[in-house]
Amino acid sequence: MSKTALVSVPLVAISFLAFSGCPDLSSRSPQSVAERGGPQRHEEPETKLALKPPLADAPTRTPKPKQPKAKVPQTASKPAARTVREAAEKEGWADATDAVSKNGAIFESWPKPKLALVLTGEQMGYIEPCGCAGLTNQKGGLRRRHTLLKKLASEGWPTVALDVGGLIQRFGRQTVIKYQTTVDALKTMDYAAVGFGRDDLKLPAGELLSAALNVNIFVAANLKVLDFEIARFRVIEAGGMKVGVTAIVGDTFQEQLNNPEIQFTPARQGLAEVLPELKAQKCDLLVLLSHATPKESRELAGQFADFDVVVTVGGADEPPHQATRQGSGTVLVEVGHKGMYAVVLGLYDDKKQPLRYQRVPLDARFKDSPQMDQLLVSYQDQLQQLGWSGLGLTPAAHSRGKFAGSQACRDCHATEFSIWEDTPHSHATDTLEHLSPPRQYDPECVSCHSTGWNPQEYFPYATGFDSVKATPLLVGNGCENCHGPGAAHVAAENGGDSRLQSRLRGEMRLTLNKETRETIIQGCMECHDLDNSPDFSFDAYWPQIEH
Amino acid sequence: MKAALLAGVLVLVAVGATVLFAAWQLDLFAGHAVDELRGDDPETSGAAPGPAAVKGPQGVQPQPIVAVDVTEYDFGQARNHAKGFRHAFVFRNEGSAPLEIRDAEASCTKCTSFELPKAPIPPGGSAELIVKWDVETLSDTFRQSIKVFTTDKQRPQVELVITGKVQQVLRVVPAELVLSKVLATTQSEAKVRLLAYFSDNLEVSDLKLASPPKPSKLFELRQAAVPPAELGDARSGVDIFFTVKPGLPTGAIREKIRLKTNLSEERHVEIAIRGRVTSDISVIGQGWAEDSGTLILGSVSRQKGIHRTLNLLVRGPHQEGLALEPPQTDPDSLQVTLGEAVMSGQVTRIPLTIDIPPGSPPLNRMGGDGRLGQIIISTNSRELGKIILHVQFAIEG
Repeated sequence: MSKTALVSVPLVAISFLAFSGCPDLSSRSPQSVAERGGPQRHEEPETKLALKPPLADAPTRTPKPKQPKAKVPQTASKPAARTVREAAEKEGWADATDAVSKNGAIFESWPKPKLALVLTGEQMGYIEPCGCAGLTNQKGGLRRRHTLLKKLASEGWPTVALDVGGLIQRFGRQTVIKYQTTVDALKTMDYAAVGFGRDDLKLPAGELLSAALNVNIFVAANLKVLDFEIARFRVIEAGGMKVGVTAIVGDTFQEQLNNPEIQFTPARQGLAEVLPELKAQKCDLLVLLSHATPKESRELAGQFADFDVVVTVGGADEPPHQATRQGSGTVLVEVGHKGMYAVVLGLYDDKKQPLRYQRVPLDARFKDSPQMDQLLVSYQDQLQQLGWSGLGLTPAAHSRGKFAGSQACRDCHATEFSIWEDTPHSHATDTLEHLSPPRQYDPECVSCHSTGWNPQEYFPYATGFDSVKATPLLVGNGCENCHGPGAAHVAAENGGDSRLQSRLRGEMRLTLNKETRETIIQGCMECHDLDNSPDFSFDAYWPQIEH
Repeated sequence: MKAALLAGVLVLVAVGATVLFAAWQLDLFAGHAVDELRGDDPETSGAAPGPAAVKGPQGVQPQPIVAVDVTEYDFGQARNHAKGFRHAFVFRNEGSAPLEIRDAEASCTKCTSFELPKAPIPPGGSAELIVKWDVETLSDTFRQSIKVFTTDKQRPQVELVITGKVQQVLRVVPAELVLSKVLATTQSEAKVRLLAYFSDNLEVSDLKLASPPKPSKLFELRQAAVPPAELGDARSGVDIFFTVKPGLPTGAIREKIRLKTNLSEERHVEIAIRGRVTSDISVIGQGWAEDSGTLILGSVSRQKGIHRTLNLLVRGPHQEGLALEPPQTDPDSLQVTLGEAVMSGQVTRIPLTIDIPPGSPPLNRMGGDGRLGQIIISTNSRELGKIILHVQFAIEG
């Protein structure tokens, strides 16, 4: 790209006000790194991006930037939220209106950037929007993230997507499958570089290698997996810019790992070794993916001032509304948690404003990407094929005995049963079967959508739900999830030992009073937790199931 | 590049000469650029400057104009589980018609709530919107936003942000103890650290494993005080050591540590333990179920066939001089090839490609009748003998 071409980028503001699901996106495939943004390399030094004049040349007077106005068609008589909805409906993305209203417009007044860095991390296993209740209210998920990236590509924005790692959170076979699925997704989304996260590195090294060896996107300056060296840095060319990227895992996180097959060096040492090689690439922009505490990331940014951008994990669930600057001028970016947001840095040939920052809530304004849909179907298929035992979920004995199923309760507790039968609890398993894709083989869903599982640790109890076919009496979130396993109680009622009957009745009984209230609420919140039932309020929910 | 970015930052700073801002926090995004900033001193009030009053164009009809001088507030340090933090954001009406605060929405409803002004704000008047915060998070940092919906047509939404640093009463690091790789023939040990931030004398009692029916005798727990030099910001701490003795069967470890502390707010603590015990030879790859030693291919289309790549990983002394015979398979439609061994420090990796070619005859090796497919690899090691991999599949169509 010539210098002339560089400065002739049309500064037409793209209206991303609502940034809907973009019906014209599906036919577009992400460009390869080599294809993005034209030629691969600046030929002449003077064509390098001049984002700002040198410090000494900074203008002493600068016009005040104008407060951006919401580009929402207004009517005099309607409240604002309603107006947003109307505008959205007119544009044909009605389901996105609440999201825009709630989470705000994005990319307001942004001209097309010379390069857009899309920064993500700490997905923490949330390959779908964080939480299962009311997806329109939740943020995150691979499907929406892909739609964002495709939208940027369709607008002609040269884009480089980078992830600072932390793709998964737990341990076990399902987590391995989730990790592989996420890696496949990042590859499909054309990510240019991905770091390893602390929890990623808990996986058996072989599983990490299976993922890393099959794709060419991982980067790590201070670790080896089974002595296999990962790329220490990557150089990506896009938008006429050359972006150098490396990644580290911080020393604090290293100490928390018990994986003898990962060889670490201290973050500082790793960076000291890789930086000369990276600088020799004569990049226009250097990015550090720092999977470290924010404190460590700030220290590294200060010690290695050559990095223009340092992306860190940690911090709060929501990324800040603005970028953060280190004393040396390095821009420090937090990406938040659970993949709820992507942070986009726009780079410009604009001396007055060379850099723009936008945190993008991955909410319902982004429709689901069909490609990611396919991956999630494949993910569920793998869970189904493996089954509970293939996933390493050996049923464990429940400390209070065996389950009988809600139907067994019906004989004596007909009124209570009929109340339960009319609540969503009774068809919780059915709900999973009718999702797209169905989730009745997903332990993370089944644990609360059936009877006889540990809801937070996602494993079945012995005599708990196995499948609709094998254990039809244990479908739904049944009586025993709150009252405890009832097989012994049922047996006692059918026997003649009145003392045993009395004792077991007492064990099953849940009496709501001042003393028991907190314990009972804690039991509810095993499933109605912050992720999956963000609006849960015991006082509001209890009357709906009271019996 | 750095100079350019820094200069860019500085230019934005120049926008408002009266701005007081934290040294590390700047607005780089035009969407948050400011007309004027009249924020309180953030160092004394905890407030950070935010978008100031926005004056919409004056129309013929009287219009309300919302103005909020400070839209972000930092509660500073807060102890987890503490309740009742409050901050009043002041909304002014600089317009000529009453301003209504219609509604608000917090990004987290569990810990953040608000009280809206009860009446419309008259022209020239002001009212407080109270944001309340109950500290309930496992994170060290807290940040939530509140969207406030107004009747100012030029500014129908005002976003408020509250932040804070959270100090846990007790921190368990790591929160879940994971032993990624335990060799069945080797003793392993892992550590979890309990750190108390408000107590000088953290004590742990009733330390035990709680997994039903009863923990393995090959597991041991012990505790030791955290050396003072390693406490960091904590005031006291206890390390819990979990030891796995040799002899466990291969498969998953799923245990739980239960203990009591002398902290009233964190009396009972449970720490999950996860891990995997493996032999010196292991298999990795898509569809491999390690617990059952089975490659699960499932239903395979006769027209399409299937192709998979696994890796054999060999550790320990068996690596040296190890030779593998060409694999034998049952049924013949399973075609298996060994790749070149790659030695890498502690581990040797041997690629294993498995094909069921298109056009293979239909058959069922799903195991329902006890039969699964098999891949048998003979070795020259007396100890290892034959490596047998089961394959679960059915060729259909």
